[in-house]
Amino acid sequence: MEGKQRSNVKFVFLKCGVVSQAKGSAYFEVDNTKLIVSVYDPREIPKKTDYSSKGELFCIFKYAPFSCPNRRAHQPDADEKQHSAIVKRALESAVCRHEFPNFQVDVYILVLENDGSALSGAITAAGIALAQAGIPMYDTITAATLAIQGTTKLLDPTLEEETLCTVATHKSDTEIDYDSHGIIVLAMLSTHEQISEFYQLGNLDLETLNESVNILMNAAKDIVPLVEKCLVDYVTKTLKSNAES
Amino acid sequence: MAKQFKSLHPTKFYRDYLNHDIRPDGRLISKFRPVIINIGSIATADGSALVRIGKTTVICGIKAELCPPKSERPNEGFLICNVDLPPLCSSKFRPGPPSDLAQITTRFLADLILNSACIDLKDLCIVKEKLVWCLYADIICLDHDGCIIDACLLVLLTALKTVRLPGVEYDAAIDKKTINEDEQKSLSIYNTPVSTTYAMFEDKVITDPTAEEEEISSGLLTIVVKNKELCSIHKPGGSPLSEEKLYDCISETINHADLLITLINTAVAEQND
Repeated sequence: MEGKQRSNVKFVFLKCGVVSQAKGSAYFEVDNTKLIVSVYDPREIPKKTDYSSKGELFCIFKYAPFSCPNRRAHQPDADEKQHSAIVKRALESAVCRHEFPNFQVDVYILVLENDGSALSGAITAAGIALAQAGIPMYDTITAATLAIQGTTKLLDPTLEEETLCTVATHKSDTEIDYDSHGIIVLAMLSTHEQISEFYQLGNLDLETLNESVNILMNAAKDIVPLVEKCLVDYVTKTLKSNAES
Repeated sequence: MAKQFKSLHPTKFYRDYLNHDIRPDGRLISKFRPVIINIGSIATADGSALVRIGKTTVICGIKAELCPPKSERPNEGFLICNVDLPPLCSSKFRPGPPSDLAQITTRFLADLILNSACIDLKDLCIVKEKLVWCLYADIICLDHDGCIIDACLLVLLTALKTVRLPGVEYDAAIDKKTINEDEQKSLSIYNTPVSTTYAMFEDKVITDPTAEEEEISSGLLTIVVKNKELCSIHKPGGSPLSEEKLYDCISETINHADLLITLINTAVAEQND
């Protein structure tokens, strides 16, 4: 796979309004990765006595026990906690938090099957769910993942590709320096090209980083029409069914 | 107008509907919701199924692991099922340790599997006293709209029928396990218990209630049948129920069970083709 470039967005399936009990919800699928997000009404922040002028987002990112090659425990592990924090940071800049002071919005993410790019999928899906729930937002938020190994760059990597790209390899047999490798997740508010979250693993040189950010920004922009269509479809469907009843 | 009336007087709202033997969603009082079964949707699991009863959605993934058996039962494997009702599926649940309802459902399912003998744990034995299969059946609710026990039982049985275990050769002398992925063995399921839930509302019994109806009702009743025989009745408190009504419910469940079992078998047969 040396030197291979894959920078076009893969086929993504999006659907919103999948959980009837939730205020907003979304289902996301790319490759074999399947995840579901639901968002509930703002509620008072539990166990908090002082006033906060900005509302809070409360995110839980969870892998289902059967979602990965090895069975996962029910208790959240370090990975899941970190992912929760990343999703929270990414979404915070997209949501108008001053609109609901002293309240929190719950965002629950469940990965049903993990085949790579779950984190970026979760951010995109959470953006859709928040929008469907009617939470005020500045812009649609989309995210993309890029896996890098040497000159190879793969957009929306599978789990296998992710694993291969996190392994450090030497530039050549004689050199001690490592080749560029790693994974980048980038979340963006596309209208003004504002990057809301940048998460990187591994070791990159500046030139690769520049190229990667460009690929990721284009990829994130490419998903926006899909997100918009998904939301418009939902609104039209709801209006139609309301008109009938 | 109906919306405002419903939120102000929910009980009266339902009573007015039920007096005409119809429910707000247009169903008759004894009508079941449509059931959808999808199998093999999770590739990382050794067996998986998704069940929808109306809007209630549950997914079950089964993962098989190798482990040594308990010394009291050297030739029996393990089937550990767990029901998870995450805060994702309904606003009734909060993050943290499993809710009471989740634990009760888990316990109820475990007892049911044991008592109905639908799988023989001896089938999971590979080498006596040394190596057995441990099946972890994790059931997760994705959308809670009533009848959670029915959905969980249905999805568990369907997922068990889709389990494929690889062949294992074990050399006890050097503790070496060889996995043969080509050899795929399915699990024998000896019978299929299925259940239906009823909600009691004043003097009426409502079949297959939604979450809203469960909330407003004065009690729930779950009946489990297998092979046209009664397997278990679960009635967690609530208002009393007359004997005739109970018999009516049981015979209704037996009738509906045929349909559910046909549905499971059709879904599983499609996978085998």
